[in-house]
Amino acid sequence: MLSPKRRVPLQVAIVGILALISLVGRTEPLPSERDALWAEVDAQLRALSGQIGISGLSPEVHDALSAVPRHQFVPSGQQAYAYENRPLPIGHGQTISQPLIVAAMTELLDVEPGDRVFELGTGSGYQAAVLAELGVEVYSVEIVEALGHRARATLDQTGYSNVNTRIGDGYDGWPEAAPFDAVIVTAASDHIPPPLIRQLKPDGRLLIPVGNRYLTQKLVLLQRDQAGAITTQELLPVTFVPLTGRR
Amino acid sequence: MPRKPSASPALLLAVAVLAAATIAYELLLIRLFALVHWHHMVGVAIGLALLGYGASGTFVAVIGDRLQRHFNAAFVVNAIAFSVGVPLCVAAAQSVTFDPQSVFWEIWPIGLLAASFLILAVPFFAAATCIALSLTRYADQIPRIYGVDLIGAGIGAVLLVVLLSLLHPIQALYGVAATGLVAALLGALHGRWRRLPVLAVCVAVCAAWLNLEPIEVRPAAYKDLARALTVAGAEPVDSLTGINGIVDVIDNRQVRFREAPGLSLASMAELPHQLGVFVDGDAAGVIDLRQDNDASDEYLAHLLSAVPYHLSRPERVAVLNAGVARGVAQALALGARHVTAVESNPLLETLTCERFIAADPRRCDEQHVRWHIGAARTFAATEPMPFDLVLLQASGDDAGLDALQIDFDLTREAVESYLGVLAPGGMLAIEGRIRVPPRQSIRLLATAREALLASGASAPGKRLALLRGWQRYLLLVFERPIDPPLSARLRTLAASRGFDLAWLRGIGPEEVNRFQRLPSPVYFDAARALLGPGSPDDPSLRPSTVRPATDDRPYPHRFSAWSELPGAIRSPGTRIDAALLIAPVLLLLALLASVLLILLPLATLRWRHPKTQLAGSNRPVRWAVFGYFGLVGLAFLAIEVAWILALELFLDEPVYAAAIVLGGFLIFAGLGSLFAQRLPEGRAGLTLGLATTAIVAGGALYLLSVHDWLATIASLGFGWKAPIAIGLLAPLAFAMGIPFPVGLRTFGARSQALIPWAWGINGCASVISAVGAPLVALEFGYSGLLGAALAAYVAATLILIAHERHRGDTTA
Repeated sequence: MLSPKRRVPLQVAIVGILALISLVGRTEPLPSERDALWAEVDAQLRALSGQIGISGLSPEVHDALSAVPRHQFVPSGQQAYAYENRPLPIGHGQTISQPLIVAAMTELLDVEPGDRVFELGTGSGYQAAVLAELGVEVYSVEIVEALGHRARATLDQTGYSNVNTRIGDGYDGWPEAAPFDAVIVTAASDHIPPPLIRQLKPDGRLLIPVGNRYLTQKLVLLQRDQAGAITTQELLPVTFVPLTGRR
Repeated sequence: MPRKPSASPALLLAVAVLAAATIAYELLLIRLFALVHWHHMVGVAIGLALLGYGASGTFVAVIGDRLQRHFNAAFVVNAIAFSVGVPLCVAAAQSVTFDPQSVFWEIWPIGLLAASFLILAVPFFAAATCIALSLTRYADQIPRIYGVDLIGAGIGAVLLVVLLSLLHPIQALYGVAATGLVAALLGALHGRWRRLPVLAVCVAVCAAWLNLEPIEVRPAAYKDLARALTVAGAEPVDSLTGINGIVDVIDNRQVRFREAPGLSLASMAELPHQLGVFVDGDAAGVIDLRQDNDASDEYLAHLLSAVPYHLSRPERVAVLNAGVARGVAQALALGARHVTAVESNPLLETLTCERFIAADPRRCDEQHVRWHIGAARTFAATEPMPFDLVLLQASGDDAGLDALQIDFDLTREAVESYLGVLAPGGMLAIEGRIRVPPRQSIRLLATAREALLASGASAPGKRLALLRGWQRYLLLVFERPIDPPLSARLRTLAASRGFDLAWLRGIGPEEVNRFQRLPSPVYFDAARALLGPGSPDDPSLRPSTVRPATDDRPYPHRFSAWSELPGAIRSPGTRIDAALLIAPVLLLLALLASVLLILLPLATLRWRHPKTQLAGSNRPVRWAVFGYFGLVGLAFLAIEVAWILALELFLDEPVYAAAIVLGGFLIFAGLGSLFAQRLPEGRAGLTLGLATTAIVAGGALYLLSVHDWLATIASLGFGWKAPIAIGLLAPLAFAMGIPFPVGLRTFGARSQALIPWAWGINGCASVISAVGAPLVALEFGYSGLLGAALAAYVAATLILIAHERHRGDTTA
């Protein structure tokens, strides 16, 4: 039997170890981590304002990003890193985009509540959830079956049942729901699918990452004016998950 | 006096067979690396082989005495270990999955990958141990053993190419493993050591191979093929195997392949159903399944590569690097009457004109289309027919992984040869991927400018045009100056398709960067600085970007300078050729592995066996051995690499050329080594002096004239060119076979314990040379590399002569 004199330090040690284990093994992020992430993203966007023409996070996008539980969209093994500003693997050679990129793309889409957005490449479902949080009607297609099912389940669990998803070929867009106010292509492509341009409303915006598969890429904003003329504009360097297969 | 033991014919044959199996394993690893990972890993495979060789020298040096007491058993066991190890180690390495993206956030996958590579060195280690043991046991017959080792390796290289043209690489792998068992049996015969049990073990190993599941070659998750197969609905429909690689065809009716690089943003054309084609797991184009109507062709007219057809309606067209012939279909659809498709991989022609001819029979219609199997470069140098249009697809990835990749299609000499086959009024069109800031397009603009100047054009800027489409560029080089009507047509066409002009004589800033807008008109600025009145200080005109690649320095995909490396390390976002980041790391790892596995254990010998092992070898001698074998190891591989390159270009058959050159080099070096056995032992300095003179003469021939001379006879058939190539390299290789065994015999006479030390140092130097030689060539060209190698041979000779004199003095 340990004397009380010895028992106290032992108890303190046990409590300390348990606290350490709980910290290491925790999956729920601390609120401060989330706030710190979006503050960092905001600062980065301000620094990039010369390149992309937006000056930091707007209150609407900030609120949407803060509201979506990013950690629930990443595999359990990666949840501890969910609020670090970097892409994370989600399986099948795909990643969930870096928070900075999700924020930049959401800002650049310049959507309003009630807008319709088509997303090519559901991935984890996180980008779709952020858009849904903004009151946007999202139509999202994923070509990797397992990812599509997982994203659907996550969106349902997190309360974004209003995001329309399907598994299959996103190249032809979603003709039944077209035209769209914005199109977001979250995977690289060797040309812009003409059906997506056709389904874009005049003055609509299409965002697409292009470039190399693993290293720095560019984000390209395509705009279609009232007369139907199309121009593209290269924006910030970005790292994205590549399009599966080849298109 | 006891008779010295003699290596029996059975042992010599065993060494030759084992050497053949080892080189075949090395070449197979190169194939497997290309299939599973990247083709850039050639250096890794060679490095692993040499590392295994070097480590075996150390191993023999450390416990050589014990092994020598059981020489026969050690030889047989190691030969069997090689055989068993070949499939086992490949299977083990295959089980490691690696995702390059993960290195951005975790370090351990790199360690795992490195470990999986190191496993692959085990069979090399086992085989090399057999040879190192033989060399030390029969020290008086070193040149003979080394000679049969080299000859065996040479024959092995040639036989593997034959094997690969008939079998899948994995089947060939089992064949190589079985060859190791033959060596084990021969080893058992040599010493009459447990022949029946060895035979039983060999039979049992073969039986196990036959009954076990064969190894599956799985491309890594990041390969194009692996990614395409993860998509719902992906279905393999065909596969072809040959010496030029493995070609896979994938269909997907659920999520269709849709490839149209450079498609105009203004195009609303539907794409036909396409099949994805992959060579060694890398995307290699698509086969359009054409319907019987013109709608399938519509998109072809909207690609950036269609611009030349809309400009001048060319009738005679050469499509270089034709692949699966989309360029051919495009030419025919847009009015060409005679199309020549030039493709170096015959499997792609088989795919297009046999297996999938029904997809679009026009591409192989002999009335209008001629297929030429061979390199674009050689075709242009030897083709008598003039063309209205020569269209070339430039390769190269924009991450800079290809920076160390040799490419003779985009050198200054190559562009000169393309211009040489243009008919009056014809044009050369080169299409490739865009990179920002401008890279390949601007270098090619500079290359075309130099080629035009060389052909006597006074104002190259008037014959050039550069366009940008969606992530693609198109460089047009005209046979004559662009006249105003043609210029107007080009402007109108570009505007209607949404293509941006980046260079055309007479355009102003208001005409550029209109449709696919960049933050600033960097392409126009760079082109104007190069060809017009722009600023010569334009940041895109750094020498590392603009300097044209040449046949001596055929690295058109290298754009970063070494001086950018520190900056890139400090700020990871900085764009730099990825290969320039990877290559120094590989070199460092090679150095580290060599020191840890070879030199460090050898160095410990000094204090572990101060009196016995290195008796008679004082510090200057050990340094002499270090210098001599280090220099010979560095130089041999460097010269071999330089010659392989020169003759590959000449032979126009990359794979067969490599086999002939590698095999020829090894066989003639082996013969040189056998010749050295006949030379008197006491005249090492003289022998070596003569050999070095021959090597320097051979090297000088290369430096001064080999490229030009070979170019004059490039039109000869392969049947003529192959013996000419062998005739050229034979005397040089013969001479290069002499220094190593002569040195080994000379230093071995001083102390036998120096032999494994020398073997290890040579292996270590070879590892470093395998990784480092391309870096030297990248910076100083192959002439520079060769010059350094020749200097190394001269220095090695001087070391040996000095050692001889010193020995003479001490003996006197």
